Amino acid sequence: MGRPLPVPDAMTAPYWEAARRGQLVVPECDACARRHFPPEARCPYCRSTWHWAVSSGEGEVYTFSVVHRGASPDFAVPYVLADVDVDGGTWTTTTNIVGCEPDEVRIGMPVRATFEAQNDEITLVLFAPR
Amino acid sequence: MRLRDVALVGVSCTRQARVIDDTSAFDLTWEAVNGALADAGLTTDDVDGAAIQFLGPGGVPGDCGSWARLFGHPLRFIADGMLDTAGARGALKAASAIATGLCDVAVVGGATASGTRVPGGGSPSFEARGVGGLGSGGVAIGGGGDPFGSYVAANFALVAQRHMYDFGTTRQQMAEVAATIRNNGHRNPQAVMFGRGPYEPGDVLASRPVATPFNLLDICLVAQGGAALVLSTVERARDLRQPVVALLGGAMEFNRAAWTGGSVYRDCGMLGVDAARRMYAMAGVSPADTDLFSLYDPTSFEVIRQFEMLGLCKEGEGGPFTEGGTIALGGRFPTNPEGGCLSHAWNGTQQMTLKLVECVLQLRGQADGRQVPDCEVAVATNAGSGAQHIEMACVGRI
Repeated sequence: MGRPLPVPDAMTAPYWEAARRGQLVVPECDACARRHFPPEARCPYCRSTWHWAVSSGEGEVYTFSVVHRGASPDFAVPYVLADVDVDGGTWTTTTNIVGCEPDEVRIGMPVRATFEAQNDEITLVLFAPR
Repeated sequence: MRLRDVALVGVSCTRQARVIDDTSAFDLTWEAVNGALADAGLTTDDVDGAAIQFLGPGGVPGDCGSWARLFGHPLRFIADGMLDTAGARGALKAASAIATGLCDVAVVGGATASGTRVPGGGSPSFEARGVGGLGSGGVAIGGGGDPFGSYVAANFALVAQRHMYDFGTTRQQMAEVAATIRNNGHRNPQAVMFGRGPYEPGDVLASRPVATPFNLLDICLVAQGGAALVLSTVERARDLRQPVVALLGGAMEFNRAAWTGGSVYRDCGMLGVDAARRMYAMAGVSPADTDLFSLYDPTSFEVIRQFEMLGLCKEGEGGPFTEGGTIALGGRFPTNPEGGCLSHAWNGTQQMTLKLVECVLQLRGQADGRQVPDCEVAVATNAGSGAQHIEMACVGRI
């Protein structure tokens, strides 16, 4: 088994292709330039179309939970479920914090994207202390 | 007609248990529906609106029109979707249909059970719903399961953790909420956790960690059971069996698709504030006039947040607000006197209906052993921050 993996679709495939290359990308509005995540059919702020922009991959932990009882037996515990504010807080993504002990994670902790290949198609974007 | 011209004329709550495997979900639903009708002094012959979960056998699972054949006559109103058949959302939609004249007597309800005497069983799983189902967590980019291991309790944990950081809400405050509501269930013979206490806040703090900041006793149980409501006009209610309880007000609020968005406090922390204002304005009562709170309690913290949401205190003040016995039976704002989802029952979707059942029993003065004195106005809430949607109703004696 192993953790459940996402199934890319027409809209999200570019995100997963970028992750496979070790790049974090995010929807950025063609009109107002604001970033949003996860992707929607139109910019949630101004209803315009958007394009994929390359993120710095740097962020801060907005909130987290050290999970001792996993979502399923496929997850090794404990693990850190977190929301990370990316690119100066312009957008937020759910992820895991890795590369440190779970009890070392703090809100506001500076983190950087790290890419963990799950198979030939899916590479997950996790975050580690920077 | 207005919403307040609609009454909750019948209620039922079947047995609730960790596992109900000696009957099917259909049979337990049938029991809940007929129980609520009998409570009202009505029969299936009177029903022309069905917002009742339909799982089969027979008919088409998920299609509430299937009830027409079981009631033996055509229906004038049905609901679609699981959440349209439970709790405040189910009641408000059915009441809207009654108020506009689409139908006259509507039933809301359903059940979970895992017996397979007839097809249509199936057991709810808080865990399973958290992965790939309703609780696919916040990422769901491209669909499929959530690869980061989010699930319901962990999603609510993300909200609580940020609230602690921003406002200094403490584990001790959460533990008092959990212990208080669990002690209500400890004293309720119908509660799944009857006789399992009493609990001190220290017991909550000492239970095993699940998803920080929550320990096991901060989080609701997982069980099975059924519940139902019958609604009709206040005018008709006056000729029925029970004291009249009217729907004074109600409101819904949806942030985004349920269980998505990562449970980010700045997005969902104040979910329901606008709905609460609308509900209380419609009801013509102020938050502090609420005699009974029947609040969604998937975790101890969500109760704290919902007092802020309802306007009983300011944002960030929910922790201190709930301290010192405020929400205990006998306190200023009694909350979940039957034990809530923490201790009475979380049974899938119909735990939402149970919140309204408790309001009605309290308003009628029929809450044996846990009666809130002079209960005239009660509020029920369903879902909350981590779920990204909330439904609520204000009910009262008229």
